[in-house]
Amino acid sequence: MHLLSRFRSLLSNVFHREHAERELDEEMSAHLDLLIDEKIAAGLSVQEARRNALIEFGGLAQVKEQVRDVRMGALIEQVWLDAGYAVRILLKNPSFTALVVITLALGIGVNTAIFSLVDGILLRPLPFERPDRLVRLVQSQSQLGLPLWNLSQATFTALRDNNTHSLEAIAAYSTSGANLTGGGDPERVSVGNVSADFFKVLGVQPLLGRTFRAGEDTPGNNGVCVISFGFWQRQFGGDPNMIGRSLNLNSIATEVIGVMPAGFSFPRPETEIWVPLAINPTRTAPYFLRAIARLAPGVLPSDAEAETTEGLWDYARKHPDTSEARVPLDKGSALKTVVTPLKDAMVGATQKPLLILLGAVGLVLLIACANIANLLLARATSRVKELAVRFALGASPSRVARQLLTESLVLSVIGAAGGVLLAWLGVRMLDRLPIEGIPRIEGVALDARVLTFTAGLAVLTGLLFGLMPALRAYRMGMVAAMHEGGRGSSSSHRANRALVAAQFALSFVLLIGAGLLLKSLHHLESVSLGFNPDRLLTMLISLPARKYAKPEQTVQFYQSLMERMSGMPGIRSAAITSGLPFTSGGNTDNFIVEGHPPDTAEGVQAQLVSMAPGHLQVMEIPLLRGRDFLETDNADSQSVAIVDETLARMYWPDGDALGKRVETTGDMTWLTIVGVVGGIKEVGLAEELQPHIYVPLAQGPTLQAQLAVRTDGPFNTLIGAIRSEVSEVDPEIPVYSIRAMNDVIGRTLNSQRLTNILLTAFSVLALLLAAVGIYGTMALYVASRKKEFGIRLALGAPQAVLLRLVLREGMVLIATGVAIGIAGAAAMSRAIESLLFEVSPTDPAVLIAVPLLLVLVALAACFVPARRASRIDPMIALRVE
Amino acid sequence: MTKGTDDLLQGTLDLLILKTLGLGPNHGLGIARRINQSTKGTFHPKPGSLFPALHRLEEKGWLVSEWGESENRRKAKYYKLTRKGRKHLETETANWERIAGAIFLALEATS
Repeated sequence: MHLLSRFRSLLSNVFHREHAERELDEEMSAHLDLLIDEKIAAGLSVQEARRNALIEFGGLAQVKEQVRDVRMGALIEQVWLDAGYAVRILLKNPSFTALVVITLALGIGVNTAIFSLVDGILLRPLPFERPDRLVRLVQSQSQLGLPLWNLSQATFTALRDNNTHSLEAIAAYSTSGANLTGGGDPERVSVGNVSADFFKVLGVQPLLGRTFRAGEDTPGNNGVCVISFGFWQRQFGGDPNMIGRSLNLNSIATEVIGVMPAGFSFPRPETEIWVPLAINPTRTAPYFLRAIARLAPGVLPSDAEAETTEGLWDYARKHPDTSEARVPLDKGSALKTVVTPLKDAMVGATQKPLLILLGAVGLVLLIACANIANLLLARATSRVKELAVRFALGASPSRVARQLLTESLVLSVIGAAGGVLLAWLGVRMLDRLPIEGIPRIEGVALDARVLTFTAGLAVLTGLLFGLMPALRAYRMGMVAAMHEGGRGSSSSHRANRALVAAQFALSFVLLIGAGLLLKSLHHLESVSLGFNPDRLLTMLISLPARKYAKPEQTVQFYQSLMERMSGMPGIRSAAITSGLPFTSGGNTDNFIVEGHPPDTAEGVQAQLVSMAPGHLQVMEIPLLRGRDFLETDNADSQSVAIVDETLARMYWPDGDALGKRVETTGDMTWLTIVGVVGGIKEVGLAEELQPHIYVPLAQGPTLQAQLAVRTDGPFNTLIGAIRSEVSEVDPEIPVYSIRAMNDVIGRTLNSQRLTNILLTAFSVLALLLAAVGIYGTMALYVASRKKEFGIRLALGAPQAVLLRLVLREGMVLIATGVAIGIAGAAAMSRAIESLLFEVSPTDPAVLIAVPLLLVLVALAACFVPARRASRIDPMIALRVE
Repeated sequence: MTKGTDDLLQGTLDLLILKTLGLGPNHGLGIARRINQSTKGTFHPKPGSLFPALHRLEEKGWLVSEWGESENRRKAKYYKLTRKGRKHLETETANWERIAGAIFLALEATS
């Protein structure tokens, strides 16, 4: 309370705007009263006197305005003078100034960089019309283990035609790719498959031509497309007569009807072509559509969710044979729509790590401020004489306090300039960090919004670390005015120590957070995949449906490709499959196990994979029982399947799966199990194992295939060779998405990796700052007691005693800091609990290692001043002062 | 009341104010009347130039102000010369005398 009132009086003195204004009013009216008195004394009536006085005075407002101008001018002049004085003072202490500016540049730099991420990803509105009214709509069938599930064509049509009041418009979309041929090398382009209202919902107009009309999203009418600005420029050099030209997509001539403006890319950042869906309202499966919708005015997402859920239940009642209808429709039913603001849906899981990083850099800045406040306090002690002289010359306490604050602000502005430079370098280096797959990262930039944030931060930090020294000077001036004299060096040391303890508390919190996340990432990275990702190259091939209409044709293509590749140098083995793990290329479906009731309540889904013989060896997935597929498992022989251990354990925990039969809901043939293989991770390292059913490629042909190649040589030279082999078989087939399996898996960890790299860097920075802080404080402590130590040494105290004395002083500070930090760390671990994988928030290893690290660093930082204390030459020490 | 001029050079008004306050603390109207008297009606400072000048001098630290009571028991803001102000008055007076003397000489010489 005491400190608060002192702070208030300082502020009112430094910025006595309101007070001055009131005083000016009073002065003017007092002057007027005196004038009136004078007139009355001269014999005028009261009214006359008043009138004459007002005339003589002239415009009251103008007079006040002129006085204000004078005061303002004086203030500006003073700030300018103070700033100039501050710069001169700072230049006189270059090492002090450099230390402060570097500390600040680091603190403000990391904050600017992280804020640019937060702003670009979380805060900036989506580039659509009134983006806050846009929502994403999917469904949830929690009881079937599907908390977020796409819509089928039938579900979407039902929801769209339901005349929903809470939604202005709704559109469906999915993403795919297409082979673009007819102009040079075949190319794979990213396609958005959308319903007719897609662009209307987003409220985006085409640059050229038109977007889709109602009815163009029905089978047979969808031979048109809209292209992106980038694609238009790249492929056609921005041809002004683009509308009406034709593209050869998947061997189908498709007419370009529109070009979108630059910067429009949705649903994926790389989407270049939009093609209408061919919606068939009778298809109740598969589930591959998502919907975007525009909320009606005044409607909340939760309202829309309630209304569309009604519609979904309606649909489920009318379609008793669908997955939707398998969920009991009661009050707490797990069948519902999920309506999420579009931005939240896009940003999703990135939000939390980013906010944690923002919190972390905030703590780093606090630590930096504490360091600078400490330095300023230490310097204030040595500036006591300078200030005393200024007070003696008649400088008012508020005037000196203002000057010291100006000095701090000058420091923080210079530091902020350095920080912006650092942040600029950081954002430029963003490409070197694991960022692929992080949403909206392409929009991150250091722009006016971010710079405004930095400017605000600079002023705030300047006030934060400048306030304490200014307050001290103010109080010193007050004391000097009362002729009491005296200085406050003991309280200065107390403030110093409190700041250092606070720094260690904050560093402790950060290090605990970083430690937990690092351990969690380590666990994730050492998760057993079930296959060997090393030296494994993956790529995609898509066969156009028109040219490869018959299953035999696709089998023929794959066989000739395999034959060509088996002899290639650098390739140890290669195989074709319909979907590799981690590539989201797989196919998920319900299945039925012979002898088990078909609609089991669990509603387990299995990953369906078609694979050529040899795929298991390429992937190094162990065959546990039975046999692999053979060339003789073809369209004419018995239908067979291989299941993985995950599925086998579910249905035959004690018995043997071999010889048993399963059926996928897609086709009605029983597949005899001929082998059992090890389970593999399919989508994410942290996910549970999903059951897999493998079928021979010849019995389950696929148009989109993935190629897994186990290599001996370097990837780069192989890629060209494989491309040319493919084009030998069919020159119209592009090979795309060529990636090392380790990169594919690593991509799923990018968000965690980025968070960890940054958080670790920030924690180390915090620890270094805290170490500098404790070093400075201990050095000051030793210097202030130099005389005493000298006497003790002269009287025969052993050096070790003094060494221990100083170290103990340091350890008390650290222990205090750690004790406070434990409370903060508890809050921190709760905040990040959901980001942890197989690590408890109270992980003993982290909770022991972090304090140990802190103590070691602090000991090292204290050791230098401690040694200096024990080596003091008594004679020199006694002669000081 | 004699007719006077308000067309004062800023420096002149400042000097006259300092000089007036050199005789003792006074409020705004008192200062204006005093200047008018002592210059025998030549200068008649109006509030529009008097108050900005007073505040400017206060910002420079030559004056301080405080509230007090006038002769006829009215509330009024009194201005007082500081030590710094008194020193400034002395140097400025010396300066002014030198310049005024020089200009007087120059004018004599040409006429």
